[in-house]
Amino acid sequence: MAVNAPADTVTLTIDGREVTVPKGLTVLQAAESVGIDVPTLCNHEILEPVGACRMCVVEISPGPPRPMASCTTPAADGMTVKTDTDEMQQIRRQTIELLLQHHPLDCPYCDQSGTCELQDETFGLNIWSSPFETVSKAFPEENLNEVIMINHNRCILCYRCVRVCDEQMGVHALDVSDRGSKSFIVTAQHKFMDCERCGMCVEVCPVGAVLSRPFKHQARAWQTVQTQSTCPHCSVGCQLQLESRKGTVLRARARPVTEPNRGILCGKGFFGWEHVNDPERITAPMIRRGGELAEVGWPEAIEHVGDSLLEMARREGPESIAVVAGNELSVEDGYAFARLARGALGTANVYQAESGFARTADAIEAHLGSAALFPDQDSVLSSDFALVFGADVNGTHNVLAAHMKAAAREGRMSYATATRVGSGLDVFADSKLRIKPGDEISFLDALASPSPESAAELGMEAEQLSGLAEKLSGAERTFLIWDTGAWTRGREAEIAAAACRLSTATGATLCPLPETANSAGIWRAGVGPNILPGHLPAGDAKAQAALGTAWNSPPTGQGRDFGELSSSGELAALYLAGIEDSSQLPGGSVNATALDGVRLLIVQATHAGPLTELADVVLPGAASAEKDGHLISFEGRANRLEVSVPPPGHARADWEIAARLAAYVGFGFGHRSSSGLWEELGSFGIAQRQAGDPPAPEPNGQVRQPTADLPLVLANETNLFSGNRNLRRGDVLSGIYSECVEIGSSDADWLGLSGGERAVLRSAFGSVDVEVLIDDRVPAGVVYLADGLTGAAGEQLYPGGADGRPVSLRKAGSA
Amino acid sequence: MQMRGTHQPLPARMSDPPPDRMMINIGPQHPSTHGVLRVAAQIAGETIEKADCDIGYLHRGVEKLIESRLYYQGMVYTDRTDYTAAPANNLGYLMAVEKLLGIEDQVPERAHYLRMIVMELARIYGHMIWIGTHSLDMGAMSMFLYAFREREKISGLFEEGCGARLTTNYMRAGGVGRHDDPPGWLDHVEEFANGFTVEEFDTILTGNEIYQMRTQGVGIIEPEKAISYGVTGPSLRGSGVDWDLRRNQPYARYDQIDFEVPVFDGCDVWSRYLVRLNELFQSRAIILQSVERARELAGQPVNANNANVVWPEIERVSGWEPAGMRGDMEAMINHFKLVIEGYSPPPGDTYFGVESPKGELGFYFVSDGSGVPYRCHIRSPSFVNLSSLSEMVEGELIADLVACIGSIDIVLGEVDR
Repeated sequence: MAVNAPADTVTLTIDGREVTVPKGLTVLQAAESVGIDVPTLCNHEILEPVGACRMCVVEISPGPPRPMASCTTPAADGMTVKTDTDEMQQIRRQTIELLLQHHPLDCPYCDQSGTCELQDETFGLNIWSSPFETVSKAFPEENLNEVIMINHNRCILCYRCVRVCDEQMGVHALDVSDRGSKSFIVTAQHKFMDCERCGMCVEVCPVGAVLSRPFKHQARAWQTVQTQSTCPHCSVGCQLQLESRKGTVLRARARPVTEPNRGILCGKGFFGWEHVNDPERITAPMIRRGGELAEVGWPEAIEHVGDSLLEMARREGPESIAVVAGNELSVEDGYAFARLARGALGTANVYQAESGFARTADAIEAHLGSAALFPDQDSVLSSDFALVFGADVNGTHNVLAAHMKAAAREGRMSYATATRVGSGLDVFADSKLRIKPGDEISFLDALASPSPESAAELGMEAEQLSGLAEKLSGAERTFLIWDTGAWTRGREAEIAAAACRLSTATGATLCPLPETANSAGIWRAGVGPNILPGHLPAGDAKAQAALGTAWNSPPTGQGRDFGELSSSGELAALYLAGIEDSSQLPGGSVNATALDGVRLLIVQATHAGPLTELADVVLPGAASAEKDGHLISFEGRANRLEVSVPPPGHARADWEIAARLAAYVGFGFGHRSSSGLWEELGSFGIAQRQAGDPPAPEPNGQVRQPTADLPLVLANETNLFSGNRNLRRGDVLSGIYSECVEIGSSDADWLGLSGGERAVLRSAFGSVDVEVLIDDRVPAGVVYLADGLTGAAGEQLYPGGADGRPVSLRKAGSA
Repeated sequence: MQMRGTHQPLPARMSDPPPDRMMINIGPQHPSTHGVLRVAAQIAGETIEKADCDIGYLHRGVEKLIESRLYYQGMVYTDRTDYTAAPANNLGYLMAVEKLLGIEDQVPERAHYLRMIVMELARIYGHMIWIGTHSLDMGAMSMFLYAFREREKISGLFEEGCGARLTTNYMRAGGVGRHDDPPGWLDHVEEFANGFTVEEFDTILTGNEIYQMRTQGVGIIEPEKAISYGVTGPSLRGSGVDWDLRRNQPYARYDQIDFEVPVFDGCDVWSRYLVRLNELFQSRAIILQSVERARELAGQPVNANNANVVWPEIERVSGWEPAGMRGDMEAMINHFKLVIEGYSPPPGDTYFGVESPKGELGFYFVSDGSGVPYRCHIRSPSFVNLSSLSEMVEGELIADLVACIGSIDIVLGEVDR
């Protein structure tokens, strides 16, 4: 067995112990690798060393005759390091004493107390009293933005917040002002810190200087219960630690440092937990009686639903029942509904809620086979070149974008952006191109075979296009990255087919990013009328047999298309789980007519919404923090959900409700936990499809050209906090974006609009009243509308996909 | 056989008495059991053939409670084991914790003498309860009143010293916390000690013929038997074994004090009575000498100079408004860490025993390096001594059972813990 070549390692002596470590590590890392504890304050696992605090000083010989900061000194061969001499301890003590000279006496009410690194070091170094006359600073606390505040008095100037914002998030919203002991942390641009609200400055702060406003004075650190879980807000699948107390989720922390998020979170994962604690949660089953929903107990609700469904099945056949599973449910939940429908209710009409990823993945599978799906993040971040097109990935998959920025900045990868509006990714991009909404497919095809004509058609320089095409085909490992969210609506398969063509032409790997946390998981679990759990076609005899054995009842076969079923009038009962409004119905809101036709509408949800208003029965489901299970990320990684808090009232995990119902109709699952379902689903495996040559999807014929009446083009995509409805519950994040559109300043001048004004956004189908924000990241001729912010009215602008469609924007009140 | 009227089954060997024998219950509610103790006795006529103790009625899980709390928080539970002599339990607990922390040598002299003063006051305090209730069992009503008169005085001294009369919680790891001697307290202690005499007890009990007849030659336990049962304290010394931890394994500053260890070799209730009576005199001597030493050391610190164990003074933590003084950040941090996380002894285990009024009171701790003990076991003298009861009473008359229970001086709070 080959050991590391001598050139790759260095051997040094630390506190009398011989230590061999890979070359390039610092003395501090070498010491930590053998369990020698050197106190630090500014050093952080995920940050580059800076040597600001001088706590980690050590004696190094041979070397300069002075204490050296071990965090910034590279380990070298033959070094003798002493970490624990009296002199070093004395220096550390004095460092702390100097820091404490002005430190306010805030421990009793400081949020960081108990997890404060300054406290730990003070106590650990046996510092008992101050040799200095001590004076408090008295800067007022400052609110930097809606969620972050700073207390300069407690700051120890370790610069961790500045560094994490710069190095890891690539945002650089914080900086240092002034010099020496008078320096202090400031926002980099304006007094109001209009950053991405990721909260990482709060997370890394060793003391209570940078604080989370929602968490302020909510609990003491040692009173909280910690659980490891997965963020349910996008498909990166960040691992985080949820801290709760007495059934309330108080905050999330970006720890431990592990894949895929490597110790960072975005604002969604850090602050987006209000929906769990929301007092508006549905807490009991409800049955509509005399027009009003009345709370009932679980036995009554299950009996009512079970009896009604059995009655429907007896009178009109089981195929009159349809079940839909939402994209934010866990894999186990999705599988439970597939089994409930196919195994217990005897209907093949089981659907995944409308998902851009499902359509994209189906198309990619048909073209390139299953192997082309789910690239892993590591290879993306070490690729030679990646092209991000379509929606701003910095807004939709913020942590992945942050990793890409960090990797590009360090030279580990390079990427280009070809988005429709300016993106946070642009800063570290090789090149940036603006594509007009609606032109993406022609852009991808133009890249496959660049020509001056196609460049002119897209309104770009021929060199820009050919340069990009060259990079894609010239480099060895290349990726095409796009979000499959709102902007692809109505043309997912077309976009995917164009990407497949480009992939075939250039050898680029595809990296579609699912639009919700588990649309990939529900898709892969095999929830659909044409697909069985195990991801085999519904008609496959072998799969039918395997499921029949596991379920003790033969699964149903091929189901009907949801649109066709709902318009046929044969749909009698509809069971919707994890769906909030009609736009999430299979096929989108064009199928909302299904809701009018059904005689029994069962809605299983966490919150009341437009669908619960129509429902005949409402069943209370659990939020992601309240159940265990798995979410599948864009990499295909199965991330665990853990129970952090119990569901409120009588709410139950979604799979559990499906299991009870199945048991009531006589086909119990035989599992008492979600892990039983997970193992059962795992036993079917995931069938792999081979590459094929399907016919190109037909263009849906939507009008995409601006007209005199509707002179602008709409860019409708997911914003950082807009895509997930749960993020807008409670009052923490809901205030960050209001109902607004963004336009560039030249358009604003032309339209006579100014920032903050109300305006009417009109399409061929409808209009919506919005606030105008002026931001020059939006190119001329484009209106940016974040998906989901404008509610049902926004959905109706262009049912079935508004992106790239013509609109007009006029001052409210004008004709 | 299930005894009617009891909810507990009998101990196994009592469950099926021969036809000519009778089972009789003393307790669990009986004035002579000094708490909730049930003695199930099998009698032949008036003679006890077997006697089994049924304990656990007062079990509160003190050890488990201590295991779920920080070290300083666990100490209040020791006030509630042998509640007749709380400071003695405090001391036993703290000596073990200090040994675990490795700070025994840092406890200042003055703190040692203050600890010894309250420790010996506690011994008199405990013996007063014993002599009062034991003589009450023997029919000597008036003794109780004299004994409790003295006990009240000590309650007052405790109150003056630390604010509490019964559950004192007087000491802290590393010293005596904020409780040093308030002005005049040592004088009051000295005044009490000087005035304290056993003359009345002597007159009422020692010379009392009825008392002598009921105690002499009753409840015999041979020295070898006593040792084999693990009996300690006055009960052991009443069997002629000369063993006292204060002298044999000195702690605090007992090696700096002149005192004698009374030993009587009658092995009966009478001898155990005499040991305790004489101990009262010795405790008085220890108190007087300790007061003398504490006076000499006046003004010296009462807590170890170790901010990782001893809480900083409140004035340093919060600042002192009248003087316009800002608090000390270092003190604030140390105080915060000590209150919230407590002190964390290094991983390991330790045992320490002190001579409590009842016998050897030992605390065994296992530390896993956290601020909460991983395991705490209390070697309580009442529990161990009670096991010798069967040995004492088997063959005696049923009426002597009461004398025997009294003579081993048990507290059920400590037996059951």
